[in-house]
Amino acid sequence: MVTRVSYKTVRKLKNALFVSVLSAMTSLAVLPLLSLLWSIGFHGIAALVSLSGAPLSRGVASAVLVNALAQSLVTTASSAVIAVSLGVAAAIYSSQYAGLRVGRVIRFTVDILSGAPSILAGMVLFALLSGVSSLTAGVLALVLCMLPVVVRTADQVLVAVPVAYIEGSLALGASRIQTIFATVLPIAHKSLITALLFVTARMAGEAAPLLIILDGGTASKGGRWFQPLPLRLYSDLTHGGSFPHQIAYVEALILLVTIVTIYGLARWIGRPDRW
Amino acid sequence: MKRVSAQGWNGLFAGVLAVCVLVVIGAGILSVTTLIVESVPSIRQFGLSFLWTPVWDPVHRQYGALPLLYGSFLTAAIALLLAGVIGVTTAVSLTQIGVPWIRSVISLLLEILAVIPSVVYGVWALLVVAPIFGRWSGYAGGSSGEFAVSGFGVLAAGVVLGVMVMPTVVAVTREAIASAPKDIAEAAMALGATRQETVALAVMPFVRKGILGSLYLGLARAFGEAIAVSLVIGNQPRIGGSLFARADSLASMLAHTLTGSAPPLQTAALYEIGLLLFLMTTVFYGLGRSYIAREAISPRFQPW
Repeated sequence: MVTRVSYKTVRKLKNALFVSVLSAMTSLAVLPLLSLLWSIGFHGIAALVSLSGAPLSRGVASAVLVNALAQSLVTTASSAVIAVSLGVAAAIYSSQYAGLRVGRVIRFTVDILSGAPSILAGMVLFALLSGVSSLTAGVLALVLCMLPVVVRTADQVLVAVPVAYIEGSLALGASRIQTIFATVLPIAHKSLITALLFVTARMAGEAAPLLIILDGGTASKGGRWFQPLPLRLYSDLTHGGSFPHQIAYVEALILLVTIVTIYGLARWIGRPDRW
Repeated sequence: MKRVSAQGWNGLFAGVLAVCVLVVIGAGILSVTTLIVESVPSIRQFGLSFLWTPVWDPVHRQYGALPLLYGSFLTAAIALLLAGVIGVTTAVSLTQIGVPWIRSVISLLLEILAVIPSVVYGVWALLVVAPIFGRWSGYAGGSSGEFAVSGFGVLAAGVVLGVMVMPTVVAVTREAIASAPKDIAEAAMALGATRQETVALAVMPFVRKGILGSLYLGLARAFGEAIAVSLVIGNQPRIGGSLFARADSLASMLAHTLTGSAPPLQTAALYEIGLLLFLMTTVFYGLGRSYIAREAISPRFQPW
């Protein structure tokens, strides 16, 4: 009897230990994020306040910031438009037209490419354009690195559309084009937009390909003018300046807020958990 | 004007889409070819010994990948150790214990962790993490002089990488747990097993492959991370033999030297590093994907 009770206690204790270790590990997992958000939020806002006190530096700093932000907007938006239109078209082909074997080849290739580090896209374009650097080159590098990811996610969303709808549409005499535009895309559009916004949010903060393209080429002669926000932030961290840390915190804060906003938008659009 | 038949339009449409597919695949092939072509001078000069030459010395034009491989593997090992232990246990607690609303708050936080760009991690690494390590080693008596001041080194880079890789491990492991058969876990509970016994005996055996896959994906991501690592690893390509020593990784070396490299040989050597990086991440990524069913993961959230 005594041994039975003690065995039960041991099991209960083991379980309690298990639950507390899990809880501790989970808090440990969240800790870095809280630290990151706290340090960037706190120092970013503090730096924003202290920098806006000095009129001269405010003028210069805000001009530089607005310029970087505008360039980020232009590069991200144009690379997203190119990569999304090209990528979604390819995904429609792989999910609706390609046969089993061709589809597998496309998916395999795209999977492999989407796993490659983003810095390689910058290196490839740096070599292809032999060092010529402009925002256009930066946009191309971002497209190169976004494209496989767009195809992969869009294909996955489109494949998830129930075949019964497609068959029904075709059985009613609709052509493939009509089926795609009236059945497949309307069913998938929410998940598609969400997935594409996630990809765009990731690209908006991408610095590595831009670093290779814009920092190394001829643009460096024109000073630090061709610098979208993530790159600007990186070079502030490495080169320094008059208030390197304060400005870095402000830029990190802006970047973080922008990306978390896109992310929130994506989640909001993808609200109902359909897939 | 001749009217184009519906059939014709369909064919045209499919043709345009097929061209887009070819553009995507062609861009990939062009990229790999470019990496190979650009690294030819270095391959000619050093041959296979590039892989095990322990020197990266621009002054004497001696380039070997070993110090960078060392840095990449060491930082990735630290990252995977951290992300593996913390990530897997977090995934278990997000599916097995706890109040639903706390779970959803934590998974939201982890998703945010996955979308934060690597430069922002860089800010945090450089201005928050590295100083902590610097102070810490100062208290410990400063095992290595330079580390005590800045905190730069393999350990700081590995820890930051661990934080960056963790969302991937959590997401994939969670999906694996979710797709494990529920009836067996429920049967265990019904027979009176505790939570711990259920997880250990009726859940984890089905999740091993998923965990292994998530670690490979994490390894691929850790290898490819350039920006955040280059800010704290110390950027010195040498084999220090200590967790506190400065080092350099494949991707980090590319980030901070490619744009200023000396054209014929150094640039080619760097492109060879890029090629090496591509091959290794592809292998790790492919291994990871082979353990994880493609359909098992929602397209909505893919942090890798």
